[in-house]
Amino acid sequence: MDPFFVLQVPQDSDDATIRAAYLSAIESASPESDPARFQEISSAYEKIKTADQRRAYEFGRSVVYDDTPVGALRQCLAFHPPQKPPAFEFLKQHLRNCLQQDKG
Amino acid sequence: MGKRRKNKSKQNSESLGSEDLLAQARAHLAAGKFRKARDTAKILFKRDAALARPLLVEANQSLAEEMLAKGQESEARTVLEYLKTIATPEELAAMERRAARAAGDWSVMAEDALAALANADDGPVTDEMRRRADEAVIAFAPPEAGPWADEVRAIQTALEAACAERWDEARAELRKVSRRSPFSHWTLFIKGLAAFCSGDRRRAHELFEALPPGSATAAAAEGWLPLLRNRDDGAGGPSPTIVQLWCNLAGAAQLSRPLIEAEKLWRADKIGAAYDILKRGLDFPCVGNSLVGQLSRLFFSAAFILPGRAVDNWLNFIDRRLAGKRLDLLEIEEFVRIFLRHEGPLLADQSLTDDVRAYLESRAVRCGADPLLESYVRTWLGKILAEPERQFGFRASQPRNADAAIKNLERAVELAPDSVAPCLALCEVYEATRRKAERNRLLDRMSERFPKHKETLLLAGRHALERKAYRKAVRFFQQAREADPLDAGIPDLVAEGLSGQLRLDYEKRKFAKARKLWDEELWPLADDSESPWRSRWALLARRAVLEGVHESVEAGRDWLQRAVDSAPGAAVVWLARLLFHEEITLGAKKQRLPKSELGLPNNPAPSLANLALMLELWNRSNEEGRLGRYPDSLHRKVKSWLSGQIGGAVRQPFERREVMRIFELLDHDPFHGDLAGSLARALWRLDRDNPLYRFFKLREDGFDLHDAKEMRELEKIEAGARKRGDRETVALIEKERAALRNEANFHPPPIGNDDEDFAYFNDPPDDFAEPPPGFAPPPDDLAGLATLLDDLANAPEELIKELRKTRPKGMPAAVFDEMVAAARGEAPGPPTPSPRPRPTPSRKPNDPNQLDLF
Repeated sequence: MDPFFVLQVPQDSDDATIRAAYLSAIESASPESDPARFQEISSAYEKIKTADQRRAYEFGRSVVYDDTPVGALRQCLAFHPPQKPPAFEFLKQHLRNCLQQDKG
Repeated sequence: MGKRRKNKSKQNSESLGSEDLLAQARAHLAAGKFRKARDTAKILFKRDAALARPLLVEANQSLAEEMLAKGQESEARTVLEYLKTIATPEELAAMERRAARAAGDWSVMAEDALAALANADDGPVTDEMRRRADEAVIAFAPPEAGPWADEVRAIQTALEAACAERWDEARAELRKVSRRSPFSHWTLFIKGLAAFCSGDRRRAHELFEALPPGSATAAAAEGWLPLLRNRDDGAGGPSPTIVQLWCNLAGAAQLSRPLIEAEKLWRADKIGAAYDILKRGLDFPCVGNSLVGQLSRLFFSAAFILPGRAVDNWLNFIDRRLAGKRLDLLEIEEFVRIFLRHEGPLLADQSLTDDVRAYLESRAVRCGADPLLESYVRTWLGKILAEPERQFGFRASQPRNADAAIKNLERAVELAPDSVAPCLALCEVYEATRRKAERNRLLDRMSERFPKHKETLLLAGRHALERKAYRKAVRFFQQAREADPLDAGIPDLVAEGLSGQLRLDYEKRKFAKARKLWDEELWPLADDSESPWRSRWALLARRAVLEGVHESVEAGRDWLQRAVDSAPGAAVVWLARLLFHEEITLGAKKQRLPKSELGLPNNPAPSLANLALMLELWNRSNEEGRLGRYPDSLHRKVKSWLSGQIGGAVRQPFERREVMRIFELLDHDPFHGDLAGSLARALWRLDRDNPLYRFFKLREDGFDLHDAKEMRELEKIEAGARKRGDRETVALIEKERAALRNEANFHPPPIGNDDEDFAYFNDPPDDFAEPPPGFAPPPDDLAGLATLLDDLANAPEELIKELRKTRPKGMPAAVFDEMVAAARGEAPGPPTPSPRPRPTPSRKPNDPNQLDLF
């Protein structure tokens, strides 16, 4: 995944901002409670923690998402799940679609 | 024709009795043949209206529904008009409700569902009851009074409250729903939603997974579950409904339609078309952490994740876009970057340099000047320009464009004076182009600028060793040791530097200074019993040689005795003395010990552990670049002496791991490969049933995969090893068998002008010395190879034989034969397995430029 997305920092952040974002991210994902998430956060931090590394990543990045567009969307939402429920009108329609799909 | 057949069928039906007609109509109805059922019922209706009416109503009703489902609305209307003439008012009302349900009228559906639930038994909740409950809820129509009206209302209110994030209200409403009611699964769904929004992934996952399969809630939860798992389970991707949900959750509802279309195109390998779909109407491509920004990143990495043909299409698309000049700055920057990363090493120098300039310029306009980025890119460019050229597909020693490489790397150093990477790259190019003065000056500057960078310090130290600046080297190594105290290799380097200085002091006859160095600096380092640089016996043996050469033979003997006293065996010290003498007196003709002092006595014989230590000593001392190569006479002398020690060594107590270690060392030693044969036979004579010794003997005798007898013997040994539970031997046999298969399966690529042939050469390995198992390194200079093949085609047989003998090291004979056969237009024969080759030691890479011989 894109390390800037994982740490939720802008591309032009400095070392201190990135470190602060990293420390805040691993607070909620310890290696014991969520090893995969911890691994992703650590790996993201290792990729962009210094100015040299950020330049290397910016020019050298090749595989950011190893998936299709919808797969990438899923990865993004799975990593930073939206905290808001869907709009009521949308949910109504979604439930009806699900019921009809189920019948179909 | 059809009309005649219909009439005939009608005539047949008319000849049947009423009972038969009734049965036939029912059979048609059950089989879904509604038109036939209606026709048959009509005939019966004329005879007995009371009997046939319910059947005729049902057949017409089903026929009308079928027509509506097929979109035949006018035909359906005709049927319904007819129905009104025969159906009772109650039947007509029921029909209308069915039609409303089929057309998706949720209020009718809810009323029916609640009525069905009101009439349901008091038993356990069934799937059908849950389905009815789902219909009642999803109608979102306020229910009239009834047994389940309160629960339906509670769930609907709770859903609305949840969507507005009024979680307390939702919780309070859910308390009104009984656990035993057919609506209870809705409480799980709403609680799962609450857990998801509060970030409690585990609880949300548990609640969504607990929903009853087949219910509308379980179907709806399918949208949330993939976001709670670490992987995507669906091979075909999520449904459009789920994608719409995800986009809505992410607050990017406008993204769903183009994304669904783009997904379809992407899966059909039409990446360019997918890109265009997203570009239309969205702020795409863009940078940042928004979903569209991340989708942009995905597309800009597509060239590195897709299969071959899709990548070609995508690169062609980019190429056309770049030529069309209808791009924004981000697109230019990213597209050029993709080309550089994907094709860079294959581009001509000028194109490569131009593309790098285009990338940097578009980036500078978009984001402002970034010296660090420019330094990084120029370092990358410099490294590519410094890569060795290839001739006849084999790597040459000279960079492809040294001057341009140096120019770019010097600029990179200038742009980022605090970055070590450009300096290291520049140092490598200086080294490759033999610009030692520039390299040394750069290393001195680097060691001052990066006093804590281990790699820099080690590099500077090694080069200082090379030019015999031992004090300087020791200082660099000590700095490196401070930078990384845990690196076990650095103390050896410090000892090596000090040993060099000691030797220099002896050569200059500064004995007092040399002894002071020994006492104060070198001897305190003696703390590793197996290191040829830091073990007591090795240091003493080194001192013995120096004293013997520069002071007196007697002094040398005294020191030698001290070395023997502290060594695991005398033989180890004798060999060390011989090797150190060769190293210390390299190039010196006069200052040498008399030959009588450099003997390798046969008694006492060393143990196998000592033999292993001696082989390690030999391997490490003989490393290229450190001590240089010893003369052939020394190789012969050591080899013959070590062979003579094997008999005595195996008669002494030894452990299995020592045997394994020796064979491992011999595998990596091209000079002592024959010793393996002698040792294998000696061990086999000792214990002829031991599978390990039998295996080593069979292997060292050089077996053949095509020799059935030898293969049977290998199987027997394996069976014996398995019987004894000797896993180590079994693993060795399996490894050997795999290596033999690779050797036998080796087929070089066909040579021709077809595109498929070129596909083989797309990604040549970096080093010919280490080809992947079973494959020869692919040549990348096809024009050069064609010239070579022409020469081979016309060469006389004697020359071919000579060339075969002197072919480049590392080139399998089969490759050479295939090349000759291809050059002469002959069909190559089956590959003949050669005797098992010794693995080439990684420390001694072959010179792949040997094809200059042709």
